[in-house]
Order: sequence, then C-alpha cells, then structure tokens
Amino acid sequence: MELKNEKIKEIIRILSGFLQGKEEALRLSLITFFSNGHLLIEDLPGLGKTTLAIGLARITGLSFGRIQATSDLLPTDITGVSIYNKQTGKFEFHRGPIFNNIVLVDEINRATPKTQSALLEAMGEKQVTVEGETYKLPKPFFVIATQNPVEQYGTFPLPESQMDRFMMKISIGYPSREAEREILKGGSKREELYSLEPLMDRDEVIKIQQEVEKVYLSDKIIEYILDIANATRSSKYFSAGLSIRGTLTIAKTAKTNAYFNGRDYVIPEDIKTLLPYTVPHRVVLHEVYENTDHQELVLSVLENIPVPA
Amino acid sequence: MIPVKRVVFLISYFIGFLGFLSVVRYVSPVFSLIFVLLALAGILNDRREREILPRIALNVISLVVVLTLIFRVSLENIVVPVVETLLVLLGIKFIERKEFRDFMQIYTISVFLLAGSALLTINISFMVFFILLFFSTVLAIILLTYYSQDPALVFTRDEFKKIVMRALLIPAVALPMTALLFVVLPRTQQPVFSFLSGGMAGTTGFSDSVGIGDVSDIQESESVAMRIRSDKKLSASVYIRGVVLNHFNGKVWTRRLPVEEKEVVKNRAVPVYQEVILEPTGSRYIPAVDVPLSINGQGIKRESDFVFTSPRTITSRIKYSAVSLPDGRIYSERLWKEFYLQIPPGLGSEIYSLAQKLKGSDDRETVKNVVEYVKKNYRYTLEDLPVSDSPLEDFLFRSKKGNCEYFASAAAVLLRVNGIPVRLVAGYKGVEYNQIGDYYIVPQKYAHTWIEVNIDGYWERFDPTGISSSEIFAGKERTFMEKLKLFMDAVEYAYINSIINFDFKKQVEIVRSAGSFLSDIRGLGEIIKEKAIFVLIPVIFVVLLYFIGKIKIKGPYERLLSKFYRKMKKYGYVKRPNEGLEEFVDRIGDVQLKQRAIRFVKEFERYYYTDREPDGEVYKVLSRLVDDI
Repeated sequence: MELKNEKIKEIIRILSGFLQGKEEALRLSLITFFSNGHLLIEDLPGLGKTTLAIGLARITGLSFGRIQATSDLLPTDITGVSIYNKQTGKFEFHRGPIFNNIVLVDEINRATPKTQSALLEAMGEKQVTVEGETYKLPKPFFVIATQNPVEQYGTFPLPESQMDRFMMKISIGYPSREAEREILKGGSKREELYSLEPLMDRDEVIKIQQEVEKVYLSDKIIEYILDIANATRSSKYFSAGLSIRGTLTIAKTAKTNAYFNGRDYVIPEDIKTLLPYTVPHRVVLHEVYENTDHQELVLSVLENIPVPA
Repeated sequence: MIPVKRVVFLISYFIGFLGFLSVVRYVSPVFSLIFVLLALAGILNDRREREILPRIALNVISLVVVLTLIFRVSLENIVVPVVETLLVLLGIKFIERKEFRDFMQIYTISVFLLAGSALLTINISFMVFFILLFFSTVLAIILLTYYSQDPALVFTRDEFKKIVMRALLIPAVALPMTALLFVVLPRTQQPVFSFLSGGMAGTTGFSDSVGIGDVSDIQESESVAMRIRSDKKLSASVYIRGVVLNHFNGKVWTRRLPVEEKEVVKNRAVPVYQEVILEPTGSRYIPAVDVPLSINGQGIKRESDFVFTSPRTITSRIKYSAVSLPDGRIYSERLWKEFYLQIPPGLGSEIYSLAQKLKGSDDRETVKNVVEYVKKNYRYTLEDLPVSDSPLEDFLFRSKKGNCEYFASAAAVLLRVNGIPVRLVAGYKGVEYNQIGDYYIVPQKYAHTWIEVNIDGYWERFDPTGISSSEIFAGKERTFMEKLKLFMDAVEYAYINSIINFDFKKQVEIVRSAGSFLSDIRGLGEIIKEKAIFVLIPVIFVVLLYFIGKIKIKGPYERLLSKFYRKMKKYGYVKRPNEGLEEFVDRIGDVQLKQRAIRFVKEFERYYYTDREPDGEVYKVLSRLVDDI
C-alpha cells in the first residue's frame, strides 16, 4: 500500500500558516476527516474554527457550507426545502447548506433539540429525508460542530447520546503568545485562505479514506482497545462506559493516525495519543462525580491500562 | 571489559554449588534434586531479572522448611537433616532476587554446608572444597562490595586482574596455617605446637618413660591431665598410679613386660570407685588412684604389675571407671627377683660405697635408710637440673638437687645395689578438689615419680622425694583468678560430660526415655517423612511443567523484548507497563542511545504489530539491533 502521508504532512504544513500554534487541532481535525467522522469543537468564538473549516475545504478542493445555529433555526433551514415552481408547476427541492462536503455548524447548542436531531441524523445516516424523499449527502461528508462552553443561557446542551455521534471532541484553546504575535503582525489572512490552491481532489480524499480502512489492526491492539472499553465500563466513576461506536472510533482514528505517521499497522501509541479526544465525551459520569473534570477523570482511569509490548 | 555484576553472580553460583557438592554424597537424592532445580530456576531468573515469587512468600517457605526440620531430626541423626535443610534454604536463596545480604547468606550457608560435611566424614576432599570455598568467598565478598556500591560497574581486564590478585593474597598467606590445623584435627588440651617453642625445655607431666639428665629446666604445665569423680573423699596427697618402669639404662627408665610375674592385690578393705575423664596423653597407659584394682573402659587391659593399658594410643579424651584400694598392697605370688635388681652398667664406685653405707640389718631398715637419706640430703627443684652423661652420680654427689625423677631414680638404684627389688612408678600425686562441680582435677604439674619396693613379696610404696609439687602449690592461697579458673573448669567438665559424650548411644536412650512425650510428635514427623516423597514428586513435576510451559509460551517476540528491556535497564530506563514502546524510547535523553533504540523499536513494531511470526533471519536482525544498542 502506497502511503500518502507525505501529502497530508504538506497539508498540515500549509494550513499551519493560517492557524499559528494550532497544529495539534489541525492534525486531529484531519484525522477525523480521513476517518470519515465528525468533529465537535468546544471552544470560545473567534479562535479560528472557521479558518480551520475553510482551509480544510479549500486545500482538499471540496465544497464548504456554514450553518449558524440559533434558537429559531428550523430543520429545513439545514436540510433544504421544496419550493413551488410556477413555470414547471412542480415542487422543486432546494438543497440546504448541509449538502456540502465540509459543513461548519456554529454553536450547535443554540439550536432547538428538534433541529439538532435533524442535523445529527444527517450526520449519522449521510442522507436527509425531506417530505418523504431521501437525498444522499455528498461524499466525503464532514461536519465540524462548535459548542460555546461559557454561554449557557438559552441553550440546549447536546445530550450524551448525541455526543457519541462525534468522532472526536477537541478544543482549540488560546494561541501561545508568540503565535498570537505572529497573527497580529500578519493581519487577517482570510483572503489568502480563499485563494489557496487545492492539494488534492475529492476522489483522492475518498481514496485515502478507503486506504486508511486497510491499515492493519493487530489482535494485540484489539485486545488493548477491549481493555480500554472494559475499564470505562467497569469503573465506579462512570454510569455509562464506551459504546461499540466508541470502540470502533478508537480503532478507526488509530488507523488514521498510523497512516499519517507512515505506517500500515497500528501501534499502541496511535490509540494512546488520541484517547483524550475520542473517549471522554462518550462516557457518562456518575452524579457524584459530575463536578470533577471530565477529561481528567477519564484519563486517570485509562492511564494504567498496560500496553501490549 | 568485565562487568562486576556478572562476576559476582557467577562466583556466587560457584560458591553455592561448592557447598552443595561438598555434601551431595550424604544427602538424599530428593534434596539434591530440589536444590539443583531451585538453583537452575534461580540462575534463569537472574538472567531474566524477574522474580518468581515475592520475597515474603520465599521467607514463609524458608520458615516452613526450617520447621519441618524439627520433625526430621532425631538424636542419632542430627547432621544430615540439618545439612538437607540448609541445602533447601540455599536453593531458596538462589531463587530470591539477590541483594547484598542474599549474597552473604549464600556464602554463609555454603560454608555451613561444608562444615556439615566435615561432621559427616573428613577426608582429603574436604580440604579441596575448603580451599576453593575459602578463595572464592574472599574474592566474592571483595567484588560484592564493589557491586553494592555500583551495580553497573565495569572493570577493564587489567583492573580486574589487579583486584583478584590483591583479594587472593590474603587467603594465600593464611592458607598454610589453616592447612596445619587440618592435619592435626584431633582436639587435645595439650598445646599441639609445643614442639615449635622452647625446644630444650620439657614440661611436667606424666610420661611413659622417665629420663633424667637430658633436660635442665622443666616447665610447669597448667593444663589438666585428668578429672576424677569419686565416691569417696580423696586425700589431697593421693597417689595416682600410671605406669610402672622397671628397666634403667643409666639415663632413662623404661618399661619391660615382667613375663613371669604374677601379682594380686591383697587387703581389699575400702574400695574407691572413680569415674575418670582422661585428656589425651599420647601414650597407652591408663592412670587411676593407687592401687588400681580394675579399670573398665573400651578395650582396657590389665598387665601383670597392675598397669592398665588401652589398646590404642590415647589421642582424644576418654572416659572410664576404675576401682581402687587405697589401703591395698600388691602381692607378688611369683616374684622375678633378678628382673627388679637390674642396674645400669658402668655405675660408679661412689654409688656402691654409698649403698653399702646405707645398708641396714634387714631389708625394711635398708629401705628406710635409703629413703630417709635421699629425702634429707637433696633439694627439690625444677630448674638447673644436672645435665650430664651420668646424671645419677651428678645428682647424688655433686649438684645434690633435682626433681622427683632424680630422687626416685637414686633411691631405686641404691636399693637395687643392695639387692632389694625395686621399680619406679610414674603417675600423679595430689588432686585439686573442685567444689562447684564436685570432682577432682589432676593438673599436669602434679605429675610425680616414686618407687615401689618389694618386701616379703609385698610391693610397698615409698616416696623418696621430700616434697612434691602438689604440696608446693597446696600451700598457696587461691587467688581470685584461680577461683575463676576452677569455676570455668567446672563448666568445662559439665560440658565434656554431657555434650562431648563417650557413650553416645546410651545418652540417646536416656534422653529418649525422659522425653517420651516427644515421640508422638516424632511419629507424626515419621509419617510426614514417609509421605513427603509422594508429595514432593508431583510438586517437582508441576514446577517442571510450569517452567517448560513458560519457556514454550515465551515466543521470539517476548525474548527480544525482555532482551531489549534488560539492555535499557542497564542504561537506567525502565519501561512502565502502560507505556508504549515509542513512548518509552522517546524518554531517552542520550541522543545516540535514543537513535539506536528507536531503530530497534521501529523494526520490531513492524513485525510485532502486524502479527507476523519472525523467521530466523528477522529474529537475527532484530536481535542484532538490540545488541547494537
């Protein structure tokens, strides 16, 4: 198998120019993207989420759509709506913003549960059903949803079961002082971003996604994943452990990570490094521990699982 | 380059096996097998740097082993079970993760094992084992001190040579001295090496010949000659009869067997029963209170003149009982008169004229005259004795001083010249009563010589010496030190009597009957002992299977990994179980080391995480990569 990780490195290098000090977030986004999953970013506004999404779309030569969630956002505002055409005398389906390869859903927790579930259904099924008609979503399909952790008033936090549908949950965080100094010096690079030359096309992206699937997953690694799942399920801290979707996600992201690192086999580190992003949002803490740091608690449980080596 | 760790381990194994080999002939094969298995497991373990069992478990097992010893020991058979137990303990020590004290324990147990083998038999192999163990232990301890300072220490060849040479110098110098000790293993109370010092000086003490004129000074020997427990009070100046000497060549009195003699003891009024512990004398004569009637002991025989002999030279302590008649007299039923009238040739005329001068009207008067004359006219001394070719004449007419041997010799010769049968008796005069132990001590310095004169068929004792050593010493007040010495001797007497036993079987019987309550426990022990084999064999079998299984399960990957981990441990990096390999090598600070480690890890992962079995070639490559680190 010919590994295209050099091209991916190039992508990371170029996009890093627009997202100073955000290489890690960029890499995680790409892993999710090539793992055929969706990304949830929990962060304050104005830290570069849009830049990330647009950059990703431009460099891969894919289409980009954006949805700003508000409390009056309707499901049809996302999926699209049928409008009567006078000339043909028929209803014509007008595709909503979801019919793009890369969709940025800003502040998903502001939308009503009804709208949220419509979106999540589309994410899961990769298709939408409007007025009895089913429309396939384009391939590849990648949703970046953001959530504002500070403003809680008038929001509808995603229920735990829905969180599970996101492959990873990350936060970008503030840039370092040096990185921000560079940003200030360089000014906004939004225009440059839009004129970015794509490094690959849609077919190539799909091909890489298929190749990632072929990365070898050893029995030893599977055992390791099962150990991790078991640890979350039997821990006294959690009322719900990893779902099957969760374990699948661990395997999938690990494969992508291995691919990124030029390997056609998974090593334990592939899993370990991604655990903070793939696991915490999937487990439900017991009420007693609700006030503790979610991620820290989960990682402390997973920390001592022996690695196969 | 020689890593000190490897040397210490190797020497320790060597020492352990030396201890084992020194006793392997005596212990049961089961224990040998257990030891060998444990030791091999331990050695394998050291290579893998793993712990089979936690220390606490091993300690418990050791305790159990020692406790089972109680069941196995019987009074007839102490040494072998102890040795076997030590062997198992040594095996357990092998298994343990070895720290400083564990090494020391291995050495100590090995030395104990060797000591145990010495108790079982002594032959030349003991010496070989001893020398090997001696050298290797000294070397091991010195290297161990280096090792305990820095386990990763590595010597160059030259350094190592230097250390070994220096370490072995001490035992090499000490060895000749210890070798001497082995040659002279019998324990004696007499200083064994007295011949090394003061060549010309004799020591007081009982001997089987009496010589005069060849020694000018006689040293007082403080050592104990014998200890007597008696049923009657012994007088402080009691005579203890040792050997009768009947032939005089002018310088030395020797003993010849009076073949045609027949003697009996008459007037058997009050017998005195004695129990005697005799220190080694180097002769065959058995002394007892005068007149000894009979002496009971292994192989002790009476000769016609009531001299008792042992069949063998007495080179170790012996114990015997004796019956004596202090008032008795030996009667010659058939006297060989000429035999007791022998006089040395070339006797000076002065002696004849003196003898003539002292002749009385009858034999009894003559004897009285002679004894009185000698007693009165000569001075007792141990120093400045006349040394010459005719010591008797020198004593009688010139120096006029001497010890009991001169007095007795002079009287005997003067009487024999007068035609009266006389013989010399060597023995002891006087005893010291030890109140604490209720027994009598006869010190070597109480050795004495007197004469027996035959008058009308009866042998009568006459002592021509005016004063004897016991009387000289008796006058002195006992100092604190002497009292302390008496106390110490009482302790020793008790020890000799009970522990260094002369009739071992008999004592065993006594202890048996006394401690009959123990027999139940011992019966249980017997059962355990019988059944132990049925338990042990399956246990050994299971242990073997476990190890074989372990070896089999451990595939090439595990071997490579443990090899890699060992290597990294040497550099001070230990992989945590929750750490991935790359994560682990990423921690390495040394850039070069890190590169080499990464090279192995990357290559290893390529096979390991793709579930491919490495063929021989790949294994070799990976193994070399580890070696290169």
